[in-house]
Amino acid sequence: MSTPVVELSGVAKRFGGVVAVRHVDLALFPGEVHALLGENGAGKSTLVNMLAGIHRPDAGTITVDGTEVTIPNPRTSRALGISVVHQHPVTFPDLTVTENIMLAGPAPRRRTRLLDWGTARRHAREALARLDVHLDISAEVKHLSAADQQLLEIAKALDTGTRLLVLDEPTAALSTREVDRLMEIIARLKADGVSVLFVGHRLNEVFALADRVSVSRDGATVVTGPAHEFTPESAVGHMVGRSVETAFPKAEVELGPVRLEVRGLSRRGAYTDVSFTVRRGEILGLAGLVGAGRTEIARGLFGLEPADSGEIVLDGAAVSIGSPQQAMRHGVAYVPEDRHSEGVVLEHSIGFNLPLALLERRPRLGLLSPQADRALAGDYIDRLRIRTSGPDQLLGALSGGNQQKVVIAKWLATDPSVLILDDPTKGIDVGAKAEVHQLISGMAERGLTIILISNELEELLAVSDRVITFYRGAQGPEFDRRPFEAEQVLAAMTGQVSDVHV
Amino acid sequence: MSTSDTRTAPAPALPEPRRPIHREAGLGVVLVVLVVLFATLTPRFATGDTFAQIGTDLSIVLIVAVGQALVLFTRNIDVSVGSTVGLTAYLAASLTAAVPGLPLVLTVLVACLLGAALGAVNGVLVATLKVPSIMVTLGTLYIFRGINSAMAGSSQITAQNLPDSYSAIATGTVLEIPLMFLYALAVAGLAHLVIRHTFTGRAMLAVGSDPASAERTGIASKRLVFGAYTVTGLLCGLAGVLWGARYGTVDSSVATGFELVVLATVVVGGVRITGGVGTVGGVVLGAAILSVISTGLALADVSPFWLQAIQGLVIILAIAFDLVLRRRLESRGVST
Amino acid sequence: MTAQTTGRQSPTPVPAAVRRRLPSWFGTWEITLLALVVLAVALASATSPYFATGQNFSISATGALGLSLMVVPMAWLMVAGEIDLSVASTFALSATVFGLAVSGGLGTWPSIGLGVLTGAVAGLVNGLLVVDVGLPSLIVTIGTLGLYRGLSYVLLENRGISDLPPGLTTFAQENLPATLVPYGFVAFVVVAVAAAVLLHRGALGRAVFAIGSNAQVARFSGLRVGAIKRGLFVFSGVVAAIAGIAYAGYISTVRASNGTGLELIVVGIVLIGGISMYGGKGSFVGVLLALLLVTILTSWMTLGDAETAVQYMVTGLLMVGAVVVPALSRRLRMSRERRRSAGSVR
Repeated sequence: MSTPVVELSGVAKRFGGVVAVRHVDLALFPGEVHALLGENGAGKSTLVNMLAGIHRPDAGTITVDGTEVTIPNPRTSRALGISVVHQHPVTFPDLTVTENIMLAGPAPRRRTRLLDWGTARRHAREALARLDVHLDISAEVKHLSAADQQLLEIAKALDTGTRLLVLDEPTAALSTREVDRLMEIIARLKADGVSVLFVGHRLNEVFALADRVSVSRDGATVVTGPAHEFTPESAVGHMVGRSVETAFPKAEVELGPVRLEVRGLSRRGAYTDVSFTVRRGEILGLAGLVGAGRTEIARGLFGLEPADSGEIVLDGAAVSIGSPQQAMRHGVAYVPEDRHSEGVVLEHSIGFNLPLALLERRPRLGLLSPQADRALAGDYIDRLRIRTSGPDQLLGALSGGNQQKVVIAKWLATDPSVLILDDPTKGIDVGAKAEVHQLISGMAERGLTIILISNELEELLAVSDRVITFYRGAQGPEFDRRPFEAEQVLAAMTGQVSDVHV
Repeated sequence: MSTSDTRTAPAPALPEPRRPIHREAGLGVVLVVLVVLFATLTPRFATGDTFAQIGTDLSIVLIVAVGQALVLFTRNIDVSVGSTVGLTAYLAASLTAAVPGLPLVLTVLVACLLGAALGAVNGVLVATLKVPSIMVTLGTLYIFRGINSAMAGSSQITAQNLPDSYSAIATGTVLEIPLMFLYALAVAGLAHLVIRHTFTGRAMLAVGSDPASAERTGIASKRLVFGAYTVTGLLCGLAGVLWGARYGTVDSSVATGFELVVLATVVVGGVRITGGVGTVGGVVLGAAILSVISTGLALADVSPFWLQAIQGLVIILAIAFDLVLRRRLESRGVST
Repeated sequence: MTAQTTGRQSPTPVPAAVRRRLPSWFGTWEITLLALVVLAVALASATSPYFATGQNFSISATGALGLSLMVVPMAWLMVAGEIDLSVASTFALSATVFGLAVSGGLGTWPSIGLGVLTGAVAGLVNGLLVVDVGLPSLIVTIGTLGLYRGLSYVLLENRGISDLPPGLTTFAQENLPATLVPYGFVAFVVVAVAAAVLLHRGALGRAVFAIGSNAQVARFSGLRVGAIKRGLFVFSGVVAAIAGIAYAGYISTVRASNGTGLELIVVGIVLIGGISMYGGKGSFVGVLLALLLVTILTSWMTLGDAETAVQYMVTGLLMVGAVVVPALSRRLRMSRERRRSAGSVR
């Protein structure tokens, strides 16, 4: 093979005393798509940031075309032909598309040092055209959809000088169709001789795309090889260092009477005419793409964004849920989609977070007992096996999986009868996922009514008793038989069937 | 870069089309409506003298407001501007009084440098320590004012202590246009050019729009924040000299509470307090609107006691208007 | 439902953080402030024979009443992540309404009621603009700062009202019979203790901390974020009204200019007390210590005839110190903690 475009050898990085990257060897060749896999905390982001010039390695070397380089800042990285698309869009929401593209690279200037807007706009149009994306270049970025912002990120990263494109979990905000488009683009870049480093966790995407695969664990690359030598199972094995269950199969539960019924629920611009029933002990899965209206339905049931019309019936009696307080009074609990901004207060302790949902029931001017809080926290730490040093540990110091357990515990403490879980395993490690699945199954066994939303179809099908599909705010077919036919569910989710009712 | 071979003749830089144009148009309409309103209320309003008066009145505020806008663009705030103006006003006036033959240019230069040094103190603390700028500048508000009181005590420098040429820089006119207004316009024009048409200017707004993104794009945020504070200090120094020249009397309480007037101007001018949004043109319009209101009310024989209440109301209306506009734009953005 | 922790042979034992624990309301910052208070008292007593006297305590406590009262709701608001810069204007407007009511022949209590109602309405307006319209409190209250102060001027112009009810002036100026403890001080202690206990041990205080840390999480946990914030603004208005009326009693005059600029000192004390501008952090004990420190320094300087200049500078330096010192120590601590956790996690 030819010389690698970029090669990392023996690279290490520590922050204070924490070793983020211990020892990474990685060679990226022209015209090659290289996938880098690893659990959260395996050092992937640090690695990406070192290529991007945000962090500088403490040891080891980075070479570009065989010459050793240092990358002191993002601009140097860019000048070396390394373009990075970060996991979260690096955009300036108040500035226009043109300005965002302009600020990412060397800005065109006139001889007077003033900006040359004409050229800047031409560059912007060209960058978008390369991707075949149609955006208004004078629109402010905050007015673009999340997917368009992600595409803008990629457009920014691609200029004629790009030799290595680093994509850090680029598909999180994209729908299936856009992911397909990204795949096409990557294929085209590959044909042009660009090297692509794809950092991801969705294994099926990775295996569809990659020529070679590297797995990193605990800050070191543990294995590198041609993609066809890996299976998803073996890759996961390398990621966690042992073989694990990726999903905990649901236990069979005797279903009770209907607990929750929804009739003709609608909210303008979100979902229309949604009707379903869920029984005690049942896990109902809501399947759909991002933006299908599932989260909005969940928030409607929890009173955060109440529905405009339709009926919510609990145990046969119609109830009105116009606020979270009303929902909670009826025993409805909601574990939200975004743990960090909606689920837990990171800068406070477990003892602080656990009783939060109980506060509303306490007398406003009443006093709390710190001992009782700590006892409650201790109880749930044991029951849900939250790995922590104790009730006083700050949430920010816990792993994603354990944070999620705290969110679930916060709601279990209110003794709910209906629990809505919105993507509860998002961003948590493979091993912790199985534990959360087991937890969900255990709650159903104890007679809770559970509505589960997940962006991972495999998880949804493994855990749910029944699955309803949604497509662009409309209710699609329902699948109420196990084992599910994954292809049929997927087709319904993407709007390809509308009338098959299994 | 491929710019050297493109069309030569440096034609006036092309304006980048931007949505907030709506907002300045709105401010322009408000200004025109106010002028028409006051002109119909009182015949004394639509005269050259009144406009010269308004132009002079808004100058000092505008100069400092331009600096404040730069700081706000970067998602920071400087509430120490009043104290900085006060301190530099005192130092410039006492220097002039103490050294009679000192060329005015030198006085102005010294005041600007002093102001810049005070601004740099804020800048260093905010940029390097990453502490909330309102706390730092609230502290320096007191420190600078304290230094001012310590030096001035209860003494006063009056017009008698100052050469006539000193007040001439504020009271002179060119073609009947007050000199003060020309200074302010020059400052605003230069700031506009930098903010709109240089990389540095756009990068300042970028820092305020999303500091984390700025870091990851390799924009030198610290330097920009430091620069914004230093420039603001410098402009406060200029404003300090003009203050002494205009009012003739300088004591330890000059420009007390001025920070609120400046903030009002900037906010009315459509600069968002949370950074990333605003134009220098808007700040000019904001200063004009507030000045027209105060002058107009006085001429329309409204009790001067109403002035502060109305200014407070204008601030609230301005941000409420901004919010409504933003929500409208955003809902439109969703529907497309 | 045990034994399902597949394969996880030995779940890496998380080190039981052997961390000396200080209660959240009395941490390193509070200890620093306490040390400063002790130091200030020692220096003041050493340099001025009049400092450590009951007489001086009585005078200082009486003079600081208006300011002290307003610090209480400001601390709560700032823990909730909001700010009210209009307090000093509400302080003046309520006193103005009270004064006009008194001189209009209304009885003392109805006049006080009217003044307090004015404060409540002023606070509610702030609350509605912030919570229901959705405007940032910093700017809203800069606007109402002008508006309320302006209204006071509109109502009173340059006049002063001095014929205030004797009961009020007694309360605001005198001590409990046969002691050197001012009435106002007793009232303040009651309010402050209640506010401190409720903030750190009460359900409402917990909710306020949650709101200030992350309002979205609080809302998703079923807390009435809007209602609580609105309530805090009303609380701020009511307390500012009481403080304003008490202050009018203290100086025996109502003027539209009463308390001009006081808002920045109130905010400054809360900040020196260690409450974060971003909300969700801080301790009421720290705020009380900061209040004590500023009052002691003011009293000391007044005794020593220090000019206002020095007072300004000390206040300013304390404020800058209040942000710079924690920022520096945070940096130190962070690198130390990283090192420590590196030792334990493999």
